[in-house]
Amino acid sequence: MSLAEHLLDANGVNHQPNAADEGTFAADPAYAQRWGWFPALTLVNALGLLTITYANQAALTAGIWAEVFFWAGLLLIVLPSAMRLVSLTPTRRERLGIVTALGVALYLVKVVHSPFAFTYGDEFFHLFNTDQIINQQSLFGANLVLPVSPMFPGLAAVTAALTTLTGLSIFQAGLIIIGAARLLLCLALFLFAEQVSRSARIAGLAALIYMSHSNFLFWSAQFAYESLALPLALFVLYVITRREYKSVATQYASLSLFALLSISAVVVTHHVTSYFLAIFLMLWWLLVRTQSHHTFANLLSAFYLQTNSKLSEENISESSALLGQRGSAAHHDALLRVAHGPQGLAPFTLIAAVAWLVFVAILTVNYLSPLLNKGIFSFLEMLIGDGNGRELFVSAAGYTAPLWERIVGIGSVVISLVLLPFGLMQLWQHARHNAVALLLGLSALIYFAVLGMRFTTAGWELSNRSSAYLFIGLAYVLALAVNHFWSEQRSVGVLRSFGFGLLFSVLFAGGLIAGWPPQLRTSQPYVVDAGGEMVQTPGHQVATWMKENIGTGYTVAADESNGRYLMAYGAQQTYVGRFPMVREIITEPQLDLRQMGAMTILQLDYLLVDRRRRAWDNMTGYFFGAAIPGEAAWFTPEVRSKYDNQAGVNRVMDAGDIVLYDVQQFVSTAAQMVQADPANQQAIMKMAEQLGGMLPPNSSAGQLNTAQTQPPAAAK
Amino acid sequence: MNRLYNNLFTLVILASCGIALLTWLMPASTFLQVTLGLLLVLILPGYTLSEMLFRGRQLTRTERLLYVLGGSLTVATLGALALHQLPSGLHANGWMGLFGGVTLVGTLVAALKRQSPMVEQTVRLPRLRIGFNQLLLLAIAVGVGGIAIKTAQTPVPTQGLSGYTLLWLNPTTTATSSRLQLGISNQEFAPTAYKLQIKLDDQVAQEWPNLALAVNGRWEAELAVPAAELAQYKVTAELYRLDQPDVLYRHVVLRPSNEALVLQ
Repeated sequence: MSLAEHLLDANGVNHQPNAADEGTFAADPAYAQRWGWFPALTLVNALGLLTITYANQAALTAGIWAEVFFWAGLLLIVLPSAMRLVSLTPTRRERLGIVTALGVALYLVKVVHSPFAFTYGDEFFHLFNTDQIINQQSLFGANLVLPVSPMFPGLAAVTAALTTLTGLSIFQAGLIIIGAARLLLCLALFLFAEQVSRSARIAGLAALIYMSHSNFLFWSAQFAYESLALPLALFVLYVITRREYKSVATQYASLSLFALLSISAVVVTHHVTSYFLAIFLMLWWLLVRTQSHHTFANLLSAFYLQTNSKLSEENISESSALLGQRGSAAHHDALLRVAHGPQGLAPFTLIAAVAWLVFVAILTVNYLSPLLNKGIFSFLEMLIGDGNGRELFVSAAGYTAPLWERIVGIGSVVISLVLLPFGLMQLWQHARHNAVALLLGLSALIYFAVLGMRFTTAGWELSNRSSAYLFIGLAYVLALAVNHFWSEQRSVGVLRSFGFGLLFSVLFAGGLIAGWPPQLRTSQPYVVDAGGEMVQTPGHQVATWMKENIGTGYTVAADESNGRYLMAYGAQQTYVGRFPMVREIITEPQLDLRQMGAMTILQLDYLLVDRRRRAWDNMTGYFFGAAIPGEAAWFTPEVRSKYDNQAGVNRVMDAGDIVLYDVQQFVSTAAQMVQADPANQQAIMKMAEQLGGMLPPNSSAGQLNTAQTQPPAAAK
Repeated sequence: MNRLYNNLFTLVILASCGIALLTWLMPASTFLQVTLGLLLVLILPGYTLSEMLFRGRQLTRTERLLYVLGGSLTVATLGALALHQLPSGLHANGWMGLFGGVTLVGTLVAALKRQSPMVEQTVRLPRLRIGFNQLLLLAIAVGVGGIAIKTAQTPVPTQGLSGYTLLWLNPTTTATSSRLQLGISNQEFAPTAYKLQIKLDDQVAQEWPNLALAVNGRWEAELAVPAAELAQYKVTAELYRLDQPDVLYRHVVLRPSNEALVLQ
C-alpha cells in the first residue's frame, strides 16, 4: 500500500478537513483541540450504565421492568454516541474520545453484570490456569476440561503477574487486564481503520459498528484468552499499517520490532486469533507483492498524485502529519516507491503460529478440528437438504425469543445486507488499490457466508466464534456505506443523525439477541444477603469446602457448572460433562461395566452429583434460582441415588442438591474387576485408547491402574 | 538538560523507588502497592519500550497510550515465557526483576539514544486542553459510573431463593489411627437448629440433639474410630432440622471398606 493510495483514499472517501490529528497542521488548531460532546456523552454513558445496574437489581428481585430498563440503558449508551459519530462536525479527538468511552462503558456493562466473580463458562478455565501459575510458579500446567488453554498462557501469565505484584485477587486483576485490553482494542481499531481509510470519521464509524457484533458486549469482555489476543492482534495491524509510512530506516525498524514482539505475544496468547492474524497478514503480503510488480497501479497512483485537483496542499499536509512529518512532494514520491505491507512479518507470524502449534500446543488440532469439521459438514448437509437445520431464535433448552426480538434480530442482518453492497461499491471506487481495504472487504463477504452456518446446530458455534474477526471487515465496509449516505452533500442534520442512531441501535440489539441467551443478559443471583451475612452459591461453597477439608489436585467428575467451580475454587482436576462418558457416569440411572471402565481409565477420586438439570448448562448452572424454562428441573430419584448404595463408594458430603462421593476405593476395586475378565479388558482397553487421546500429555490418567489408588501429589 | 532528559531521569528514579517500595510492601496489599504494581505491569514497560524505540516525541498522545498498553501487555506475556525457563520460575522477585529490568534498561537505552543528533526530529503536540465544565462533566461521569459499580455489588435479598446446609463426614485415616471429620455448615438464610446422629450399621452411636448455628456458622467434630470398625460397619451421619424433626434433611455414609463390589 503506497502513500499515493492513501492520498487517493483521503480524497475519495469523504475526507474531513476539520478532522485534525493530534500533532498535525489543521487550518484551525484551536478547533482541532476541541473535545466537543465527548465529556457530555461520557456522562450519558455513565447514566446508561446506572440504568443497566438498576435493571440487574430488578432482575435479581424478579422485577418486571428489568428487561425494559436493560434495553433502555443500552439505548442510552449507544444511541447518542452513534448520532454524534455520524455527524460531520466532531474533531478527530472527539471521535476518538467517544469511541473509547463507548467501548469502556460497554465493558462496564459486563462488569456490573457479574460484579462478584467470574461466572462465564470459559472464565473458570482461565481463573484456574492463573491460579496454577501463581501456585506452581510455572506455565503449561494441566487443565482437564480445556487442555489446550494452558498451552496459550498469555492472559493467565499477565494476570498472575498483576496479582502477584499488587496483592489483588485474580478476579480483580483479571478485570483490570481485560479492561486494559478493551481500551487497547478501541484505540487500535480506531487508529487502524483511520490508517486504512485516511478518515477519522470512517474510523469512528467502523469502531462503532464493530461494537455491534454479536459477541462484543459479553463474550469478548470475559476473562478469556481471546479477549486479550484480539486487541493485541489489532495493535499489530495498526503498527504494520503505520510502518508503511516510515521511510526513515530506524523508525521502520522500530515499528518492525514492536510488531514482531506483539505478534509473538498474540501467538502465545490465543490459537484462533494467531491463525486469523497469520492468514490476514499472508494474504495482505501476497497482495502487496503482486501490486508492487504491477506497473500500472503505480503509474495510476502517480497520475492521480499529480493531476487530481482535489489533492490540495491541506490534504498533503494532513496526511504527512499523520506520518508525523511535515509533507513535501519529494517525500511523498520517495514513499510512493515503498509499499512493503507486512513484509517479513507475515511469514514470521505464520512460522511462529505453526511452530507454537507443533512444538507446544499440538492439542489444538484435536480441539479445533472437530469444531471445524462438524460446522462445515453440517452446513453442507443442510445445503443439500440432508441434515437437520437449527431453528433460529430458539435456544437449545427450548426457549423461544419473543416476536420483537426476532424482528430486531432479522432487522439487524437486513440492515447489514442492504448497506454491504454500497460499502463495497465505495471500497471499489476509492480504495481498491489498498490491499488492506480489499482484504477487509473480503472478510465482510466471508462474514455473510459464515453467517449461513447459524442455520445448523454444529455450525452456529463456528459462525459465532469467527464473527469477532470477520466483523472487523464488515464494520469497515459498513462504515464506508454510512459515510457515503450520511455525507456532507446530503447534509447530516439532527433528524438524519437520529435515523442513523436508530439504525445502529437495531444493529447493536440484533447482535446481542443473536449472541447471548435472554435469561443471561441481566445478572443472576450469585451472592445472597441473609441479614447481613453473605451466602455464596452451593457450587462455590462445595468447591471451597473440598479444598479446605479434603485437599487439592484430586480427579473429580462433575457436571458442567460444578466441575468448573471445583476447578476454579477447589483447585481440583475435573472432568466435566463435555468429556466422553462423564454424562453417562453421572446421569444414567444404572451403573454398568462401561461406566466402571471409564471411571478406572479416568482414575476418578471423587464424583459430584447435582440433582438439578440446570447444573449441566455451562452458562446458567452457576447461580441460585429456578430451572431452565421448558426443562424438567430435577433428575429422577434413580439418578440421584445411583451411588448411594454402591459398595466402595462413600457419600462424604451432602449439600442438598449437591452430593460428593469418594470413589477411590470403588475405582481401585473396579479396575481389578474389569481386568479379570478378558472380554471386558479388551473393550476397556479400547475405551482407554479413545479417552487417552483426549487427555493432556501431562495427565496421569488414560491407562488402567490396578495398583492401590494413591492420592495425587498436590493433595498432600 | 532538556525536558525530555528530565522526564526520563524522573522515570528512572520513579521506577527505582517503585520497585523498592513494592519489595518493601509485598506482604500486605495496600493502595500504594496496587498503584505501583499497576504502573510496573501495565504502564512502565510499554512506556520505556516506546521511548527506546521511537525516541521521544515522534508519537502522538493517542499513539503513546496505544504503545504503552500494547507494549506492556506484550512484555508481560513474553516475559512470562522467559521467567518460566529460569530455575526460580514465575516468582514475585522474578516478575519485579522482569518489569523493573525492562523499565530501567529501556530508559537507559532511550537516554543514550537521545544523544544522537536525529533526536531533534520531533513533532510538536498541541496542548491537551480541557475546559472546567468538560472536566466537571467527566468527573460526574466517573462518579456515576462508580455508583453504578458499587450498586451492582449489592447482594441479592433472600426473597424467592433457598439456602442450604452442608453436612460432611470425611475419613482421615493414617497408619496408626482412623479419624472421622464430621461437620455442618449453615448456609441457610436464617439461624438454624439441627439434630445430628451418628449411626453404626443403623444403630445410633452418638447424638447431638441441638446444634444451633448462625448463618455461615460452622460446627465440626473429630471422631476417633478403630480401623477395624470402619472395615466392618457402615457409618452414617444423619442431620435433622429441629423445625422439621421427622424429615431426614442431610445424610452422609461411609461404607465398610471390606464390602464386596457388586453391580447394582
